Amino acid sequence: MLKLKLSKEQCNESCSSGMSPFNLFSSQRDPISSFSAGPVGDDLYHWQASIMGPPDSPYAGGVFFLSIHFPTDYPFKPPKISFTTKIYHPNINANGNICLDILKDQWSPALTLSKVLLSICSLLTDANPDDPLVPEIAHIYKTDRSKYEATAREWTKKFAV
Amino acid sequence: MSSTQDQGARSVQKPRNRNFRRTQGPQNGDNKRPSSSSTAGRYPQGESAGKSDTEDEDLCLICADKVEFAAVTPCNHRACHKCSFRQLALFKKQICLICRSDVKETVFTEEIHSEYKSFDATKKVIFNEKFGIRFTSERVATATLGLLLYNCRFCKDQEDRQKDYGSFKLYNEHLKSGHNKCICMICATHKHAFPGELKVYTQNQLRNHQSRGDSEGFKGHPMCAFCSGKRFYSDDELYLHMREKHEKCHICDKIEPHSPQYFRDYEQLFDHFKGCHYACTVPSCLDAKFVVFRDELELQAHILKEHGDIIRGKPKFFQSELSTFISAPSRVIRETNDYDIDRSNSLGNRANKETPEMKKSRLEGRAKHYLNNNQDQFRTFLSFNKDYDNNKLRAEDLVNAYKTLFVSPEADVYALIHNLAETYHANSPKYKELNNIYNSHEQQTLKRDLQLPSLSSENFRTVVSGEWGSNVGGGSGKSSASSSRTNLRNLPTLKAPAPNHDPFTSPYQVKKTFSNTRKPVLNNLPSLSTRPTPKPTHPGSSTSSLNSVALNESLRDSQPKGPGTSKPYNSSIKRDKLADLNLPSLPTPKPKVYIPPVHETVLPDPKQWGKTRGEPKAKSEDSDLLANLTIRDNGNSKRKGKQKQLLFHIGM
Repeated sequence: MLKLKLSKEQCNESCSSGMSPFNLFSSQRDPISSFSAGPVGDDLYHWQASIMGPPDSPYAGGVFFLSIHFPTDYPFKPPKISFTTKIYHPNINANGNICLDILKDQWSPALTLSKVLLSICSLLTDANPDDPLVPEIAHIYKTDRSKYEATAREWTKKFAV
Repeated sequence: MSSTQDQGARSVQKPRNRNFRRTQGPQNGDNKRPSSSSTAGRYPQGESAGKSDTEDEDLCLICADKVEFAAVTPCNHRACHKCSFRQLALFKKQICLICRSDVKETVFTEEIHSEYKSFDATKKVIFNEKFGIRFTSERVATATLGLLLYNCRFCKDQEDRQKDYGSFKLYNEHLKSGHNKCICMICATHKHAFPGELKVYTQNQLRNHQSRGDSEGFKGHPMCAFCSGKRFYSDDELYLHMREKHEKCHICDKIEPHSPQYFRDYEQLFDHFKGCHYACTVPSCLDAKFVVFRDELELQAHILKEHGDIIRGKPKFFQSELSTFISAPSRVIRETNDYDIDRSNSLGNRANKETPEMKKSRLEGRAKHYLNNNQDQFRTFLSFNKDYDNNKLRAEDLVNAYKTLFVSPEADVYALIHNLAETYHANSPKYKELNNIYNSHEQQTLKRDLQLPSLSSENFRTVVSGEWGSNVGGGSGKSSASSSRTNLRNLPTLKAPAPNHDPFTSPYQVKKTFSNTRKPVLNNLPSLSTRPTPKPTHPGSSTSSLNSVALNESLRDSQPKGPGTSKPYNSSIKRDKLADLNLPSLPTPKPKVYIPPVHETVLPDPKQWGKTRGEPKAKSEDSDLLANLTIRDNGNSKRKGKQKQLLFHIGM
């Protein structure tokens, strides 16, 4: 069950073959072009994704990598997703762990990786400082937005360009 | 989130996007199930698209298997009966799999495309109260509820096969005794699988399954190193166990968050504290537990703060009694080194951390993004890189090729160059070459950014002055052009308020101003710009011409001829007047730079106050000129009133 679902999602995400009925995103102007994902090697359960920093955020211009581990219970359990590229964000800590509800209790089996990645993209645009993973950054985010943006931009340039 | 909106908008425009498998929100039968005819109409190229579409419809959103029986929720979301029943019976969650809304009742049906509303309560149904399921037929009910039965498929006898063992434990016992087989009890309790879905192993297979894993993506059930042989379903369960039953070193956790150090119990942990960190050994702290520090300094600080009285009491025992463990063990040193390295890595060059594959995928991901996933263009991009790699393209050519290929406004060609550089070894000439291009571009942007503010302010000023100029120009188009230019240059002086340079301005200045401003604006400027004067030897004339150059440097080219007829008259009058006024210090004005003085007066110069009076007028030549400028500008801006006033002065 999982394998089938994953291989179909793969068609969706990585847009490999133009003929696949699931390949809906290739060659269209689409938000999907702002991220891509695919298995690492032959292991269908371990994927790597890359996200382009959203243009209206301080992460613009950066390419961020994420590592994705699908549990054997996927899709009934959420995938484990973490950033491998360092990023300055109130909801992402130094280990790359992401504080996002749909990756925890708000997970739904109907969610796909592309939706989750889209959510992560939007988390980059709109951080959630009220439920922070890194309180220090959240504090700066709330009190000195320009300083937060400057630091985030600096980190992006340093680690993600 | 704009991107999602985009997606939604597109799906309206292009029916094909209806294919997107995970479309959420209430599903309407019409939208979701195109009849074969409508499908054919939508896809002119034929049945293949329509066929795949229908196939897609028949797949479960959750498990991507073909839907045999559908489970439909009141929110009109459907899944296959297995997934839905798994959620209801095994996960015990009465919520919709797709939209997470609470579901009191789910319809399980053979008519996989029917809507929830179409199942009215009057139909003959089998209702299962425990799970809140309405089955539309006996067959669905048997198939669904049958998933929960612990049947043994190895028994030969048909009757034995039908026997329900009631629980995993009994089922496992039967397998063991009857068939010398077993199931994995860890999977049975945690996997949320129906009994029939569990693999049946021999003892050897089970050992293999538990220790190494027997299917892709499954690496075996992890074992707790302290509780002999105790295995857990997954790392999550193991983690919970470790957190509850064992101890983790929080210091090591801070140093190396990725590889936490666990200990069987606090005794062991404390041994670790003593050996590797700096524990406080004051009895009260020993009782409090976990009073341990990363380095000596922190421990000393703690001792001074918390146990100051002990130290004061017997200072000479300080070392021996309180900081027994201060002699740093080797591991601490290693750890701190590691930490330093880690920190320098994380803050410094990330290149060390990223694999070549990541660098490559960063480059390609960026390129794809800039090209909007256009495959052809992406191939072109790859061929450029290949050509560069084979030395067919020089670096500069590559940059140009990129510039022609990446036309989208957000595309940052130099970021691509930077990423490409990183795919080469740091010592290779290609890396250096590309990186030089990137760095020089970075510096340029930096410079440009620095200059930007001043540029923008100047632009602003130009706009304003342009308007002013056109007002001043009034009737003649020619002069409007010229005056706007002048204003552009002169406008700053408008800001210089009279008090700045004036309580002590001499009458000479005023007079001089009259001589200039008396004339109509149109003629005034060109006349000043006449350089070849009839009497070059006359000292006064040289000054005046200089002044005029200063005022109208830019004018001469914009208005070469000007109202030429008025020249002789104006210039002669003016020169005479100026000659009379400009008294002794004629040599001095020569080195003057003309624009800066305009700005200088804006600065408060307290010295000037005293000087203007005490020193000869020659010294105040600058301010003369400025006064000249300023007042004339005022004249420009408030043409009518000022001119009249000035004329009046002249008469005086």
